[in-house]
Amino acid sequence: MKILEAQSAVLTNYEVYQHIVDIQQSNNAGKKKRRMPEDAFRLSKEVLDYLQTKPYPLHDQKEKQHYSQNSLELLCEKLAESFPDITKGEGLAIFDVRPTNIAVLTTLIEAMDDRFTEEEQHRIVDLVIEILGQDEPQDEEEEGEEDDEDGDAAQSVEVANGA
Amino acid sequence: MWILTKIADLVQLKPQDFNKPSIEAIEDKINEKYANKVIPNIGLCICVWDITDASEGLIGQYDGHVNINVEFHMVVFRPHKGEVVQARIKEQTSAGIRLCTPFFNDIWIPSTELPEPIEFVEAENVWVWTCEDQQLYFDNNEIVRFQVIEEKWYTQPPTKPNEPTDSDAPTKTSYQAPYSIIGSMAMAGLGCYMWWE
Repeated sequence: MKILEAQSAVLTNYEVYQHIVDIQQSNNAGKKKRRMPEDAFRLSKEVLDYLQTKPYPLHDQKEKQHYSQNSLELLCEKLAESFPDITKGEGLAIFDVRPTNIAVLTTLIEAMDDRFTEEEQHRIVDLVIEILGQDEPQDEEEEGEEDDEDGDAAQSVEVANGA
Repeated sequence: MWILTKIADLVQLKPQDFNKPSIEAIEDKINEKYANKVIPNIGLCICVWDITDASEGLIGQYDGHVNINVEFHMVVFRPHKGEVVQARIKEQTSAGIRLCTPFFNDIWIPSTELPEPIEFVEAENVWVWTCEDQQLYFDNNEIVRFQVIEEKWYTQPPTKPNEPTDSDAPTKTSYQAPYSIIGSMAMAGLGCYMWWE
């Protein structure tokens, strides 16, 4: 084994997601079903599960199809147009996480309060929602919180189920 | 969180793999060897992205294996420093919080990287963050966001063969993860994602 390039590219969550979905589809498509070797099969399934866990935006990709190569390009283009200060890495992080409020956006952009005014921050969030969509507020907990022992969590789950 | 790493390796196809199309057989071999393995200072290998080059197959003299030099891209899990990633709370101790994802279990948030003021409730084994007079619990199984601040690599050195003098008491082996991530949840916007919805 020889490492030729330690890092030839950075992939977004969406690209990894799509790659695994494509493999699964082409493996199931032909007359003869094909299966990846055990470890790779299990691991790619787990990665897919992980990427479809809320609050990652890919959790409703199957139904909503918010993400595509186009939406990635569009987001980068619009960000570069209105906020040339945002680095490529920050742009990709925004694409991966889809921040729909200021608090989450803060974690993705370094020293955000120094670089962007409050109004600009809101415009970034609006842009993200416009291109990548958002979760409907107060969606039922499809997640299924499993922790019943803890009073607080159990209560909030009950409330969510009762609603 | 994901990178592509370009690797060159020798792939050996056995005669019983000859019924598969070559490209599939090569991909399977690579996935068999690399998936779920950590390469030091590279990351956790997931699966083949594409195969960029393959030599003519050379048949070995004795075993009939076909030897092919292959160059390929591997999808690798390697969140970079500063990246914000989500994971599930696995367990908590007074030293910190352990997080896991379905495929990666070695994420550690030391107690010094939790938001202040923070308190560990011994009786329930949970960390509680007091934010504006509200008590927010780090409950097990909750999904949290954290920021990667450090990565640790560990290569297991070869161990001495067991000396036969001992009785059959099982030898103590301390496991250390080959690749682990140290994270922080001290910044606003991190921690349980529900707090920030």
